[in-house]
Parts: sequence; C-alpha cells; structure tokens
Amino acid sequence: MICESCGENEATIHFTKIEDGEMEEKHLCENCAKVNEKIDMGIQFNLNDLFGGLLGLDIEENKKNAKKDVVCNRCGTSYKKILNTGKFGCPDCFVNFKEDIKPLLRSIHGHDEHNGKIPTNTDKRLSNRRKIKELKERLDLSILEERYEDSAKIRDEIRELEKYIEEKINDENENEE
Amino acid sequence: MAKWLEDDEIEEDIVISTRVRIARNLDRFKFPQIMNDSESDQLTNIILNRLKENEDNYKFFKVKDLDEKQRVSFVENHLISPQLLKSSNHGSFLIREDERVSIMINEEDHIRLQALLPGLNMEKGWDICSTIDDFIEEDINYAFDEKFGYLTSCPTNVGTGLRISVMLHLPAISMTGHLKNLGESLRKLGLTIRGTYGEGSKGLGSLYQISNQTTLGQSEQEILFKLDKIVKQVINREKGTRNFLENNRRIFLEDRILRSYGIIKNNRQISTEEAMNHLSNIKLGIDMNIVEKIKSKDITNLMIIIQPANIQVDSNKEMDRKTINIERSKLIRDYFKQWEE
Repeated sequence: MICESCGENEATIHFTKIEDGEMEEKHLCENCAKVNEKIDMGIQFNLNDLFGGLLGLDIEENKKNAKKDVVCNRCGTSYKKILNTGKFGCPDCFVNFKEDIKPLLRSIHGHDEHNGKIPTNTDKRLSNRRKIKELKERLDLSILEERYEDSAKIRDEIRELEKYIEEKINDENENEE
Repeated sequence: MAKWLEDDEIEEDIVISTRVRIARNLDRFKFPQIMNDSESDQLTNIILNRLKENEDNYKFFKVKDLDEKQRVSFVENHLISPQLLKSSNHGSFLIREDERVSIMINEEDHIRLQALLPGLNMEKGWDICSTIDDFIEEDINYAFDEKFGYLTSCPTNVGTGLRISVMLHLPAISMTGHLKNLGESLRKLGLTIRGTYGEGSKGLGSLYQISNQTTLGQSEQEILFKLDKIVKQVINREKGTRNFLENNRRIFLEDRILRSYGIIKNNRQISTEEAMNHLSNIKLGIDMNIVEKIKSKDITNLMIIIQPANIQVDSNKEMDRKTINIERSKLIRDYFKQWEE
C-alpha cells in the first residue's frame, strides 16, 4: 500500500484516528506519520506563559481583594514579574507570596506540601539555634563595648527566636499527643 | 568510549542511561536569574570551597572560559544541560573524574547535582546524589521550607527538586507510530517523554527520555518506585513490538537494518540526523541478533561521539557543516573497521 499522504512511499503505519467522534483509517509512510504527529502534537506552549496563566487566575482574585503590586521585601521582585517570567526571585518570595503560591503548586503538582527528604542541618529550628548562638556572642561583645542600644536590640531578636523555637516544640508535643 | 558509559557489568540495550538530578539553592542568595556578578562569584566560591573538602576529585569549568564547540560538546556528552549555556556569565560546573557526577552552578538554580549511570539504575543514582547532597549541606544552609520543601526558582521543581530521566532506545514503538499514545498515557501518570537532549529537542535515532513531571507531594522513594515500574512497562512494550515485527514483518525489518548497515559503512558524508537513524537501526539489529559481532553499547557510544561539537573538539578545530559531515563519515567508517576481519 502506498502512503495516502505523499503518495510516494510505502505505507508502513496503519492506524485508526478518532476525531470529534468520527473514525478514520490512516495509512501513512513513516515520514508522513512523523510530520502528521508533529502537527497533532505540535502546539508548543511556552512554559512560562502557562505559569503566568495559572498565577494570573489568582491575581484576578487578588485584585478583588485590593492586593496589588506586591513586592518581595528581600529581592524586590514584584508579583507581576513572577507572573511574566514564571520564576521566583529568591527563597523569601515563597514566604512573601505564600498564599498565592499554594494554589499554583497544587495546579502543577497536585499537592502543596513536601513529603520527602529534609535537610538535617538546615532544619529551621537548628538554624535558629545557630543564629541565637551568633547573636549571644554579638550581645556579649556589645555589652563589653558599652553599645547598650545595640544590646537591647540584639536581646529582643534572641527572645523572638527563642519564642519561635518554644512554640515549635509545643506544637510538636501537641501533635504527638 | 564516553567515560560514564564504561561499565562491563551492565549490558544495556533498550535502556541507555539513567540520570538523577536534584535542584538545590542557598538560603542567603537570590536565585541566579537576578544575581549580580559579585553575588555569583561569592556563591560559586562557597560551593567550590565546600567540594574541595570532598574526597572525590572534580574538574571545574566556567562556561565563559570555554569556546562554543567545547560548551556544546559537554551537552552532547550529557554532562551538562543546554540551559546552563544560557547563563554564560555566571554558569560554571564541576565534573567528577569518572564523569558520572556533575554539579552545575547557577543554572536555573544555584546547584543542580546530577548522577549519570548506564542502564536502568535509579536507586544507585539517587544514592549518589543524596550522599553528595548531605555532604554539601553539612556546611551550607539550603533554602528549605517545612511546607514547600526545597525551594527552587521555578515552581515545577519545588519540593524534592528531584528529576529522574531514563533514556530509552525505542525504535519499534516509534516505527509503528505508537509514540503519541505512549506520550499521552505517560502524561496522565504525571510523567513525560521527550527527545534526547531534553525539553523540546528531537528524538534523534529513536532515543527518548522518560522523566517524572512533578516534584512535590511524593517522597523521593515514591517517585523512584513509580518511574521504575512504568519504565519497565515501556521496555516490555518495546520488546513486545519488536517480537511482533520479528514474527510478522521479518523481511521488512531485516531489509531496513541491513540497508542501514550498508549505508553507514559506505558513504563519504553524512548528517547527524541520517547517521543517528541508521545507527538506531543497527542497534536494533544487534539487540535482535540480526547484526553480529558488534555490541549495543558500542553503537550508543558512536551516537555520542558523532555529534557535531564532539567531532570539532576531537580534531580541535571549528568546521562548517559540510566538513563536519565529511569528518563524521570518516569517523564512523574507521570505527566500524574494528569488526572487519
């Protein structure tokens, strides 16, 4: 059998195509099948556009809530820019746009919560403990150098971190019970 | 032979290789897209200093120090991604001595760590990655969120940051036009199939990569398990189709393979695409005992070394397309001489 598309080569690929409920027998050579396949599969979307679309849905909702032009307070990336590029600016964007990110992740992954490996060292509590240690050293130094205004600030920072850790531990204990 | 392919124990036929990669970012830095030069240098040094402590030997390359043919050659050898070449100012990479581990710095994320192994080898690939990951993390704070997992610049990698790609040679499925069906089914399962050199590239020589699409919500073990099960089904389907062809289209199949064998040994200039297609047929012929003496892995290796940048790096000069095609033809004919009496 000759390929029904080019009419030149031997048709080696035979299949039934169902389109809009209509069945059609196809007999094509390899080349034409490839070409046709490309036509069928060929509409390539830009991944970034798609994310933009996903995020965009949420931004429409956000607009209603009068939440506009939010900017990440660390890297300065605007929500609009993330919309356009499909890329976050820095790790803190995840904190600053947390509520917008959740539905985005759900639509990409079908989930919005991590269930895999946890870095032992970067564990939030651990790194906070590390920060507290550093702060205490700075506190000692500031007292030694009689910079009391700085000391007060550092002391507040330490208290806040300690409170965070305490809350964390309480949370966990509650969960265990 | 491409170094990472060397392994006498693993006889690959349908599965060429397994690539396991994880995406990681450092807590203190902006993502690569909006980094300035000094931030990029600082970050690169932190990672380099950490890896100096590692017992393995790595070679370090900066993208901007390499010429075009060298850059592309690393991609053709599957050691780095085409994406890394786009960040030519800030991008750099480390390759372990055995070429089975590459660490890309400032690709889309600060760190892209990959293990590349011949054959179907997901568990081992993940072990290699995870061990190096642990080592780096002992001294470096990753961007990690309890709820979202490892944070990445693109939302598609958030969570585990894990992408496993298995490269398969699927001539029978591709010949019989079942590829589209396969693609659709895989997509429904959260997997994807694409050409040899990653996103958007063509399936030259019937080589395709199957990989996981989602990275969040499932554990690494679950991702591994699912992909392993499905790849094995695809292998069975390819084998089944080969059997069908052997039983029902034996003459057509032999004709196709032997023609390719004739052409590949008798030409004076050949394009990558044509060479890849004939080599794919010959590889199929080896797997089905139609072509003798040659090992399947030798053809896999040939498929890598005949790529345009590799040919130019090999002879250490820039060439136009015509000259490359002539060189390629010579290289292949010389390669085949080892099986002549």
